[in-house]
Amino acid sequence: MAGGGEAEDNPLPINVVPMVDIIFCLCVFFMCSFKFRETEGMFDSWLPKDKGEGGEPDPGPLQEMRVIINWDQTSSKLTRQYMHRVVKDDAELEQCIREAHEDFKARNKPDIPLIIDGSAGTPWKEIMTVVNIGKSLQIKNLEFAMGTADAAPKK
Amino acid sequence: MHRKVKKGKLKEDISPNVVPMIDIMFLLLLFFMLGADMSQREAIEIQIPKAKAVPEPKTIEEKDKFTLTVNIHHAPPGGAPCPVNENNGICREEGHWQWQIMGEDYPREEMKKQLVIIAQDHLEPVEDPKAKVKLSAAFLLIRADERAPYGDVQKLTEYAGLAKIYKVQLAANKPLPEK
Repeated sequence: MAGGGEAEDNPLPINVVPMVDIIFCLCVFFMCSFKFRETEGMFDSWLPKDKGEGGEPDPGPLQEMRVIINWDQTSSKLTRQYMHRVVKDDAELEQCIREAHEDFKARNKPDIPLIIDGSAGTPWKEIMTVVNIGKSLQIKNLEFAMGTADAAPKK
Repeated sequence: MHRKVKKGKLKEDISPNVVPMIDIMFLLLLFFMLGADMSQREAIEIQIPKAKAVPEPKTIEEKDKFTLTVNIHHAPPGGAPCPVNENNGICREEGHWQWQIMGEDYPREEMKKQLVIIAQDHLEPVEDPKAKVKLSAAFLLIRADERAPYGDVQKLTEYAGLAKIYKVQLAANKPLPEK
């Protein structure tokens, strides 16, 4: 800290005015450039280790929780389905997933996956909304459905 | 009794003491200087989706962890204007969404090659018993704009899988607490 003391004690008075000016300018610069950022986190999403190009499509579990998201570019309209049921909002979707997950847990099948099946044009935000719902309901097994028609050549 | 008052110059020092002000300004300066982010960021300024359930980032990073950050952002070729995007619409124009590493945009096929090169540079020491090959120990962090097409994220994930990068992370912002 800058020391105190009487001005008469100091044999060599220093003119601090230019320094104060410079500090003021620096302060203004850093204050203007300062920005509060939101905390950025990340969801871990490990890919299956033994599946690569040309892998056979998974026959899939008989039981699943599937969310289908479809983006219609011409009408800019988003439709979301939980299994065969069209859902209107996030709350309804969360309710459907919660009920199904609770049901699977009660039947001792907590690992039944939540599959996110989105069309290619779907905004990424919509996919992350479902990921967020899945994570907040502590569903461990979250899967992303990938297109197989043109990706996997038939053996 | 009369007191004899000496006539003299009564000098009053009215100059303000600027020392505390300088102290405070130094502290403010330090705060803003340390808070400012001057580093060259891998993460560019894009609007990534918000998710309440996203875990907080670890303050202490693993020592040998290598993370490749790929940003998916909207940048029409040649800096051409995109009225849809500018009006907060969902742009699905071919070639408007770019994949970027460290400030440089890569075409899809080039990105595929880059992922293979990076994966090979960071191989795990032992063969994976399930995959029966050495997989990559590198992490791939996907930072996609909230309006980016899911198809791009899918494609990038597919390329990561082909390059034997299986540790994929999806970036999301933790929303600020509501007042």
